[in-house]
Amino acid sequence: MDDVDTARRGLVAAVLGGVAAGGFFTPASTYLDQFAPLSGDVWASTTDEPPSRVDSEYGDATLQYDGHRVPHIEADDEAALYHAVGYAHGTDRLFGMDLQRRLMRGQLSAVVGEAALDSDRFRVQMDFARAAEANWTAMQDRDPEAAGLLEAYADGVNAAREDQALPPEFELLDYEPAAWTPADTLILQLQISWTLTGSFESLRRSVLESKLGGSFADLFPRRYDHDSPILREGVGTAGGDSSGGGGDGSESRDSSPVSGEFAGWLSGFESPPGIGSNSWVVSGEFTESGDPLVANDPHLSLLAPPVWYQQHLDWGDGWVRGVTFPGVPFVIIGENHAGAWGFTNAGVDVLDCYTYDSDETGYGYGDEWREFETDEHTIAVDGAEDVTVTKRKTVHGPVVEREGEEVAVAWTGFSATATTDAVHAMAHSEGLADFREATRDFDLPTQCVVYADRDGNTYHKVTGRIPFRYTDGERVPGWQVFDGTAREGEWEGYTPYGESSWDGFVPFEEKPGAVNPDYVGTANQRIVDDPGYYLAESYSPPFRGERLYEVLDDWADSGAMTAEDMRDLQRDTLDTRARRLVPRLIDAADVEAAGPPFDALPDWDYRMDRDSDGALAFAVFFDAYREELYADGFGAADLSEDYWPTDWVTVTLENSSWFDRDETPNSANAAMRAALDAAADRLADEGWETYGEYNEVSLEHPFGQSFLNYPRLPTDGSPATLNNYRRDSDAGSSWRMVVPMSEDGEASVVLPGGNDGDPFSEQYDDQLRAWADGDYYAFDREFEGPSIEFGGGE
Amino acid sequence: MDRRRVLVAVVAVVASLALAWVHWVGLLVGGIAVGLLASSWPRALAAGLGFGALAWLLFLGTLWRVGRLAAYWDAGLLLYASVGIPLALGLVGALAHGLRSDASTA
Repeated sequence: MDDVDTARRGLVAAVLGGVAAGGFFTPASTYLDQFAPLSGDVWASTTDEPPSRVDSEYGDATLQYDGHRVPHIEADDEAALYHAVGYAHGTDRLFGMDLQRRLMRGQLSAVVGEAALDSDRFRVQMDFARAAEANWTAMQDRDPEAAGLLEAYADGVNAAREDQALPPEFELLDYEPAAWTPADTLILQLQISWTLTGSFESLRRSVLESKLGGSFADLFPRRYDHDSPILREGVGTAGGDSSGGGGDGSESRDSSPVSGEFAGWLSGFESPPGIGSNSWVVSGEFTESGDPLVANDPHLSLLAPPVWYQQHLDWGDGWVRGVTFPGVPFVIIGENHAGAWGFTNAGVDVLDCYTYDSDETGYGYGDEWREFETDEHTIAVDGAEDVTVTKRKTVHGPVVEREGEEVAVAWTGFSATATTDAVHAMAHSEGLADFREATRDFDLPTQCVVYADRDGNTYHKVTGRIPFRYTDGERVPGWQVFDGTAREGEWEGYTPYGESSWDGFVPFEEKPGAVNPDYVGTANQRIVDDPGYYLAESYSPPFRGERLYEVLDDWADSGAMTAEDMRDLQRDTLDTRARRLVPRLIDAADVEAAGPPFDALPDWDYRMDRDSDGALAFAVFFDAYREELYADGFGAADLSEDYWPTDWVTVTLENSSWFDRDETPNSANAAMRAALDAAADRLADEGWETYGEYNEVSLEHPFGQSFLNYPRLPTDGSPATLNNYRRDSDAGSSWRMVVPMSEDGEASVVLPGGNDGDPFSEQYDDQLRAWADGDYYAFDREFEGPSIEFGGGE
Repeated sequence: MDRRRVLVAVVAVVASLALAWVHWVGLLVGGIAVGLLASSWPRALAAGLGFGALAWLLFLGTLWRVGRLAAYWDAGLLLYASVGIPLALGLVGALAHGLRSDASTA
């Protein structure tokens, strides 16, 4: 019996000891440390609440949240204010901030492994990190006050990082973020600037022209034929003919300087399709209140949590409220005590590519032979060997290389810019005159800014530094890949990774703009018909822009526009693609015979509403029509879907040599008939019964874990409507804002998600349904939630 | 179970939960404690599971207090792990009943 007892006890002890040892010394320990209830690090990160008091050497400040986790921060001293802003960002969005700086610094592989190595290689070669450092060095000399605010902000982020449990994503990836620095803030500004202006379109077009030959011009027109530029006739452009030519220059070439694979690889580091925006300003002459109205909804990648962070700041004798990118202290889009402003992407060309006669060590530059400036860089890779990348630079900028092909890149973002100073100054502006001065320093990115103040002024201006390109002393357009050795396409007054004089750039006064226009509508369409100089390689299709002016013109006749009208316009779902294409489809094919929902098309109002049969029919047909038009023809040219033409070409393409090819349909009508059949088959396969089922908002967290993603919701709109959502790339209205300048006007806003980055927080996605349904929240808030007092530090 | 044993059990459970608040091993220790105090194998195993369930309910309370409960139900694998870990460790810990001299092998 004793032997049995001893054996049993030994067995039990062995089991208990084994479990305990396994828990401590096997991979199971990670899971237990992270997920065990009560003690798990993941749970600690979400149950840990900010302290009620934080020591701050910058002085007193008060932070208090509202019910949507929007902070109101108040301080007499600006450094104290932005220290508290940093604390709020560090509390609510630290993981996203760290992810973005890792992305731009080429440090993603260190935490996610080889999957991010390509991205890291590209960004290390581009050396965005060095550009941010150059920016920081220049900023400390140029604007010590604003530089001091960035330092106070960084200290605030780091205080939150040290005071509180790290967000759960850090626990899941098992790493700790490094301290935040002012250069990190500046590299995040580079990230958004790259998203908005980093374009390799010249390379893509060179590839397309060499592969498509005679069909190229039909499929990729340089200018869309429409009458709705942002600045129409009769509206001052502030540019004018005096700035000289530069619109000439042949794009034709027999062979591309780079392969389709290389151009495609580089294009993978641009922003996804759908990046754009709507904004407009209406003067008091056309409003019911007699005061101006400002509306803005920037179209960016929609993520969980959102790219924007809403904050309300008060420094005693002034205030500002709106959104910023977590990691950047200053409100970027919003309103202050004197006015309101918003941005849309201008589409201006501020990036050029150069090829050279070169060898491993150097390159030809005019009559000289210059050595590359080189630097070895090691990329750490989680779970694999480190990778060494040689960073090379020419006089034009960084050299990007892949599999033996390379180009040098000139981009305004590689130079130090005063954008941070400008954004700070916008928050403090006391009216139009101040705001215009601030706009002057907004070096990057090129945007269309709209503004109105409470004195009744309205304003539109293209921001950002815009290069003139010179070859042999003559201005040339930037829509080409330049021969760097022949010194083509030179930018004057530009110093990559240093301070530029910008002497050879378009003067501020000559950039398109309008002071006190009646109303201006910007939706990424052509800015002005004839700016007098080369401005952009191409613009977005004008579907939203023409609809915007169509409605504003109609309402202007009454002269009684209201904030509610502006919200209706942001929610407008009329798709002018459909208005052009559906009549052609009805002529070409028997939609009645195709059955529901296609038989709804003849009576459809072209509105992309979630319960509309016509919207579902059009959306599915349009996908199939693109496939019919381009899949085989581009496939035969070894060109992926990424190279397909824009929707403008798709809805207007009729008589073209494209239809003469063996691989393409015989005509647009033939393509439509085939597409209608394919669309019916797809509908049967997918089982969609409403447009809302097709047009589902499905926003994902970068980490890819399902519990971090947002719930799926049906929504209205399309990639071509003002109510903007692009399901294929999850891009769309990333912040909707309508701000009247009248004292009793109701300013309203909404985010596609929530302000809190904690996935377990109720405020992680508490605005998503309102956004999907086209609802808004009042900009005015009750701040009665958790609060933090700052001060008392040494 | 006499009053003294109940008192010991309560103290052991509270102490184990306190330990579980800082380290998962508290969940195992709690299971061991209730297993050792139980008078039979069925009671021991039930007590181990019960301790795990109690720890989980306490955890739910902490989530509820900070407004995180709604999102927790949608947490998928994290939810399953946080349920499974205390039940499993409590149950395994309760096997300590077998260390008692009066435990039967049957």
